[in-house]
Amino acid sequence: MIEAPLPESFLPLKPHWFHILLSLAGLEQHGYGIMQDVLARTGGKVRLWPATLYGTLKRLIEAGLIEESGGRPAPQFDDERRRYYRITRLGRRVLSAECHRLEELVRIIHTRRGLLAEES
Amino acid sequence: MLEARSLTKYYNHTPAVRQVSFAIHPGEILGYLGPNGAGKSTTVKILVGLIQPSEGQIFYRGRSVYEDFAAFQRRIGYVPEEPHLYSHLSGRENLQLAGRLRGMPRRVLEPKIDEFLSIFGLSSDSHSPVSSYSKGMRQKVLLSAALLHDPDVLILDEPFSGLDVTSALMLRSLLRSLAGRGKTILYSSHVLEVVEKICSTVVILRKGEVVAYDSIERLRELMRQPSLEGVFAHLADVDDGERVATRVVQAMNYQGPAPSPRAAEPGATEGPAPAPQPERPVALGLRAYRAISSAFPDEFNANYGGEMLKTAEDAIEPVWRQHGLAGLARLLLDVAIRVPFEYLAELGQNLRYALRMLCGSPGFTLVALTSLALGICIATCAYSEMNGLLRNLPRVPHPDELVALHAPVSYPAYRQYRELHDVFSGSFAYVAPVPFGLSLGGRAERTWGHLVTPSYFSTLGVHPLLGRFFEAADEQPGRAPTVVVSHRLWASRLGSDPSIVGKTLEINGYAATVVGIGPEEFRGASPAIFPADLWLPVSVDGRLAPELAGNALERRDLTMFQVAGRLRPGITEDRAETELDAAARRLAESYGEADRNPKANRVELLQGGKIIPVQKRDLPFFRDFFMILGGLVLLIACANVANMMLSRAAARRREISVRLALGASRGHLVRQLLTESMLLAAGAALPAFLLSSWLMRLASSMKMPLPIPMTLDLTPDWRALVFTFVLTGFTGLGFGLAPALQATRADLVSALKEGGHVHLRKYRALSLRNILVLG
Repeated sequence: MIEAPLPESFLPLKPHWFHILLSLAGLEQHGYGIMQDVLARTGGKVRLWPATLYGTLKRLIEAGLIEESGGRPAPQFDDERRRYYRITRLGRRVLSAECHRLEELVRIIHTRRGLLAEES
Repeated sequence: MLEARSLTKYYNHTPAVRQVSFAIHPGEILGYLGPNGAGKSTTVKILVGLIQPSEGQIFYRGRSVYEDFAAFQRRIGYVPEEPHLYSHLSGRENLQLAGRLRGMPRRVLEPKIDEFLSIFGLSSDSHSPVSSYSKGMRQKVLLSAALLHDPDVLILDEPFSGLDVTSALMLRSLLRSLAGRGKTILYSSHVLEVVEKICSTVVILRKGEVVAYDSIERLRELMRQPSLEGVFAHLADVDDGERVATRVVQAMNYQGPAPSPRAAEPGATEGPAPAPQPERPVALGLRAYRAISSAFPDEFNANYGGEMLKTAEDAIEPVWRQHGLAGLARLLLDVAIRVPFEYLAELGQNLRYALRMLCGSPGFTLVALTSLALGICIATCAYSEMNGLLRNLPRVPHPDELVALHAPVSYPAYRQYRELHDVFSGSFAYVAPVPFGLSLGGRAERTWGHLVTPSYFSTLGVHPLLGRFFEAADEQPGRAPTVVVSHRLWASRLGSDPSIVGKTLEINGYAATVVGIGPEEFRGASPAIFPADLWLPVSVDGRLAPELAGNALERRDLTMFQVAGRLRPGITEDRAETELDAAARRLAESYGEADRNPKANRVELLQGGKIIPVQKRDLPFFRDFFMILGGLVLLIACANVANMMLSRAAARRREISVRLALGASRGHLVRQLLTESMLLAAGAALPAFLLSSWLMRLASSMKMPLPIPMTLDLTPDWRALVFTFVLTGFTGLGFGLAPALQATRADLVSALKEGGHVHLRKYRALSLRNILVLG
């Protein structure tokens, strides 16, 4: 059996990976849902185009960060071609590690900005 | 106790029942429930021995019934779903037959039959043929036949079908009392009321699999359903009647496919929103999207294709409204970019897999690599050989225009020939090989050179690196001797002296003035056989060049001058030969010689632009012989490896079949196997190229045991590298494609079953492997 990879080994996370994991952190979603979610969250700046989205989903599944979920919504909202994805435990750990990394970066930027402000 | 363990039955590869297990204790009635087609009757038929399970076991009292199935069969009574009775026999006769078959003695049998007939109210009809019986009456005969021999195990398949209420009530109490007497009863039905009344435990089957196996009470509790019916409906996934009815009506009203409804936004309210016709660019975009996305690797499409299309369909409208054509273009660009990306990902995966497979069988890999490397090496050597022999003169422009006379002639003859100005744009004669003693640092070294006419360099079209070549004036006899030095000699022996022009060299004891240095790589008009390092004009004094002593230029018996010329554009070799012939004849006549053989060609032309002048008709030999030789050796290596691949494919059938069964497409597997063979070929190509480089260097440096200078540069160059590269590709295809195609053509089932009965084909004599073995 292969050992579970360390979450840190995925860092820094590619932006697409990060956005998808973030979208799935809250709830299970299908591809279009993720796309809409990311679009809304970034104010329309980041659009995961379908082929890129599914290419990324495929790699996320292969990396074990997300998985397909068996759950389906009520039939009237459902389309049989859709599949739903959810984040795995590893995925959650990777996401949180990435968030820590980004927070750290932001902190550094803030201190730096302070310095810059004083200088100017 | 009757126990079924993991019963599985396949009909045409589709499982009718899968992994069905249950146990019935004596005195217990097990209800065996399921919708039509769930696999009830299949299980029953397996239990009574009408069909064999594909997998699984049946135990009775702790022993497998298959140890002695006849003994087990004597203990079971079976009421089949279909009333299998001999219709021309009476009810009594049918029962007699059943009893006899069970081996019951007549004295026991007859009273028993009477009893059963009277219990079931069949006495009055007992002598009429069964064909006149109602369905209920036949059912009663079947029941009687099953109970006649007092079996320990009773297996009933829908026993109540066709029974009237009183008979049903009777049967119900009969089953209860039989259970009370310790019989083991399996009761298969879809009549739930009866099951609920008489069974303590039920098995519910759905699509061949057990979805519930428990007591009725517990099931009701668990499912929070008031009745078994509710439990059943829930577990067996039965549509409720009303919905089915609606669907039937819908199906009856079906008028052809409806325009595909636009997908509702997630979270949008339910309702049959009228599907608006999509705008034309959107529809076109979607069509293009579908077309492009169908180019994805099968694996990707199988797993994500439908979903991705769905998402694209969902997204295309908003994108169109928001971004217009640019948005559509971006959407299409996205999918177009991802296609090669996915293929690359697949290639990477295939390469990793192939590497693992090859490392996993080092013996095979080593043998395959070795034979391929040798094959490719030999083919590359053959190519280099050919390439080396047929190389054009270096530094000479338009070598195709150059022709050379096949045999040396006298200088007067050359004078005749060079007058053919409408045939040749230029011509020259030279004496080769000429050994000179070149004094360097007080020591004479033998150096090979040519004695040339001044037109030598200008006809060849080469330009000096330093200084000049010969001029017409150099031909005048009695001038101070001049010499042109090859670049090689200048660089290796004269220290690349840039001011060499004008200096003198001591040649054969005489001083000769260096007028120029030849260009790099240039070794004269026949560099392979008579490479030259010094060129002196034919007019030099006989003391400097003993070959020219005794007025050699005027003697017509001294045929030592090689002649070559550059044909004018549009002049064919045949035309040139004819003209030269005529000139030779004129010359002979002028000397008053009789033409002994007027038809014979006196002059034959060779390809003057090659490093080895060959006749045009001999070119194919030089070109093809080595190639065919090398090709055959490589073919043998390919056949050898293909054969090994085939036997490996046979051993890997199970793996390949499993992957096919898991949904890998054939194309993907073929690509994967080809990746493996390509990797193998590439792995062989590297050592092969190095080896052939070494071999050819060895061959080039070989000194011929001849008193004439020869240099043959056969070292593989970039052309040989490209050749090896292309060859490797074809080799990989050659030994990989056929085995890959054959391996993936495997008949799935026979391969999956115990992994490796290779299905021998009828016409094996013609099979690929045999052909290769022959090859």
